[in-house]
Amino acid sequence: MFKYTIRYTKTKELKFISHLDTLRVMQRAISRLNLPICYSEGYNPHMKMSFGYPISLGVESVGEYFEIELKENIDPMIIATSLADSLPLNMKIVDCVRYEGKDSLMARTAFNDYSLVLDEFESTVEELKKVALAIVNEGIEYTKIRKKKKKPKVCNTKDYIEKMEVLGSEGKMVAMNISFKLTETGSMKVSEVIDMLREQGIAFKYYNAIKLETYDRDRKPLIYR
Amino acid sequence: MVNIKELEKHLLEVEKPARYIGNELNSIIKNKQTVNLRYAFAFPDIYEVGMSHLGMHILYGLLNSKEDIWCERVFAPWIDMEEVMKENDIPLFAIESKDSISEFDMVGFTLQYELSYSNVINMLKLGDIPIRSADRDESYPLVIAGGPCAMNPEPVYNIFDIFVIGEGEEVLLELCDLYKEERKGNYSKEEFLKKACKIEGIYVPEFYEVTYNEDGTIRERIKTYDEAPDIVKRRIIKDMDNSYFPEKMIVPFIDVVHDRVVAEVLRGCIRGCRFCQAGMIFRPFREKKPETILKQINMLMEASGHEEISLSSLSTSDHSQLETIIIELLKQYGDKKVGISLPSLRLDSVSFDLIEQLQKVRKSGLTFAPEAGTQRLRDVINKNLTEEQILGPLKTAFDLGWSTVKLYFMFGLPTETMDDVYAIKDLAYQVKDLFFQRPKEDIKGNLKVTLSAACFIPKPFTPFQWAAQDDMETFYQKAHNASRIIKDNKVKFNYHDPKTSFLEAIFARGDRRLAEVIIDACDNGCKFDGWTEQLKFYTWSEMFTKNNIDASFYANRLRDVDENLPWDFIDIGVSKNFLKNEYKKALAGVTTPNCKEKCSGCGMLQNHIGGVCDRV
Repeated sequence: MFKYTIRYTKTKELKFISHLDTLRVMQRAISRLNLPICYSEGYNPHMKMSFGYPISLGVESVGEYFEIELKENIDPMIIATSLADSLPLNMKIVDCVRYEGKDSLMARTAFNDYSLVLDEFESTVEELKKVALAIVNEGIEYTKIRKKKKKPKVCNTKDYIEKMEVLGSEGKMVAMNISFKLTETGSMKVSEVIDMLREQGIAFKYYNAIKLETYDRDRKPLIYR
Repeated sequence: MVNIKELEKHLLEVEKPARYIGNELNSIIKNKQTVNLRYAFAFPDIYEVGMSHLGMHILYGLLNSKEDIWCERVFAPWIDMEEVMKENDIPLFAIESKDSISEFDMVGFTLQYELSYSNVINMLKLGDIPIRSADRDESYPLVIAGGPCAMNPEPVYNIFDIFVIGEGEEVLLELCDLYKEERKGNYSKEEFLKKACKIEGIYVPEFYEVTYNEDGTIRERIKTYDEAPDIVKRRIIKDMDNSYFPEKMIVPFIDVVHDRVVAEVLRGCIRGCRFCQAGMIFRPFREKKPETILKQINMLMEASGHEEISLSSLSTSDHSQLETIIIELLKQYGDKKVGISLPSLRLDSVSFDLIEQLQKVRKSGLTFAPEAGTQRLRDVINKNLTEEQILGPLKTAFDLGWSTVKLYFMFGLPTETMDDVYAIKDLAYQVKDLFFQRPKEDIKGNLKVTLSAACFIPKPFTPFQWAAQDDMETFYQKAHNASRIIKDNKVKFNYHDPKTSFLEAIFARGDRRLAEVIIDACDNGCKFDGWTEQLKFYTWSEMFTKNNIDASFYANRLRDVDENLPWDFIDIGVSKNFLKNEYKKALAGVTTPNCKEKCSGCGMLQNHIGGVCDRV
């Protein structure tokens, strides 16, 4: 069986479709293309396709990955170009390679880099830089609310955020880069960072978050040429 | 265009924001500056329900196939989104362009269900469009309606400028052509309506007035524009093989009610079940050729990649070439793990060879609709099914490995007694015995029998259009009686809410005097009445009282066969005499054969449409 890792983007209004919806979009595209995809055994066979860690609803991404297993060895560029023609406007295929290894995408993922733009920003860049420093260096404690009767967990930002850089401002917008660590105890969400910024006194009306890239333990993108 | 930044900011506050974003695969974006007609197809329920409606996909494709028309979609925002929109001054917008619906030339609603009327009004309000036709001048869109409920348009007569009666594939384009033509000169809404009413199938309510007798029944209909037609004829498509059918359908991002390729294999029905409005208003039975169906399915599959194909119609097993079609589909899609679903299966003509083939691909439960528990009552409603015809196929199904069965019934059918109600339980237990009284090694799976009982609602243009609906108390009594005696853990029993059925019955056979009640109810917060948790039944009751309307006059009154009915001005092709005759036969328990067995002279033959009438 032949595994392929594919990099894709999910931007603009597609930030409002869930991870499951994205899965379905890919399944249908693959179905339309008649790619010789492998199916699982059993009563309800499904396509052998796997995704990395899901991004939150409301977040765009230019560095998403998924994997498929095909029955035949097909030129990755053919897979990439035919998929590219079959997807909605704001979902694009960036790259496709054969994957010879054994680890799942999730197992290979260690860091996620994001760009965060705060709009109608009402504080100062200095204040924001101070908060960013505190988040990464000393760390700030916060409570993670969990679903399904699990007890709320007390976490520290420095366990999950490796870098947080304020890049600059233009008019009422401020741009930042954030690098998240994915650990055994989980990670931090963009929405949790937004809440934290507001709690620390940073004021802004809107925000836009875009995931830039997914990295492995050696700080290399999951498809690295 | 609505303020996108504000909209996006708030989309994360609502459930399933993807309902409101558009840009799905196969959705159509055109340049609004260069088209001549902007049409908003309005479905008066949420996205997931509307996107499962085949009619919308057909008309969306049809209108957009014309280069100078841009058809977009608008759905009812859910309660949470409506609040967000009101708080932030975001008007109701069509999801392709995000433009407010007030900017369109036409807003066309499909009336699939009487309890969606309040949603229609609510959507107009959210779009800042005056509710009543008389309050809209040329600066507002034309508001039109079609669909099965348009067969009795009177309860919402003052809201819509135009009703489209019958099948829309041809008449909608004729209406749009007329509009485009009028727009070239000095456009006047009044002049346009005067010309439009002469198109066959178009009803302009403002050209008529209705007067009433002392007893509340209709005395007379008077034309206020003498060139308007006395009778509005239903539009019927003659050639199903060459009638427009889309090659691509929009593929939703989110899970919708029916997430599959839907192929319409035929229109109409031969059976003549006496409670069924669809069977009457879509006569005659017209099949599509297998080549047409297969071609359409192939194009739709290529454009979507769905995992299931549904062969849809009122009675798919009546297609004369069903076996051919399924064998061909299995050949093409069998190894691609695509499921083939056959809803609306009739028990008696099921070919189990076929079913076994389908089972190999995807296993789904079996659903049958006996509707009544006793043979006597089944004969009254002309559901020509004997006990053997129900149990026989079920036994075969069980032997082939099926173990999940759903059976549909109705309470309140004319002449029903408590014995008929109890017989539902007898039938269910017979089904259970059928499953278990087989050699042990043949019994596979866990039996699950679900009985679902609806409340009968008399509908216009059926032989039962004069019947009285049971009052709510009687429905509850029957439901509780049935529930009490069905005490088996393999058999589950549920029933529809009599309150919703009562409301539906009022509007189904209502007249013009109900219009203000509906508007009033919407003003008082009624919406999504078809959704159990949203129904404000108490408010509705108050509105009837406030407007001096006796609701049971419409729902529970046994009508005289010579009464003037609000929908008598529409000619569906089936004669009123035929319906009267069928009603008499029903009360005597006499059945009528189906159209393929023998022509019963309903009147369709004289309309020269073809289809099954050609066999005569």
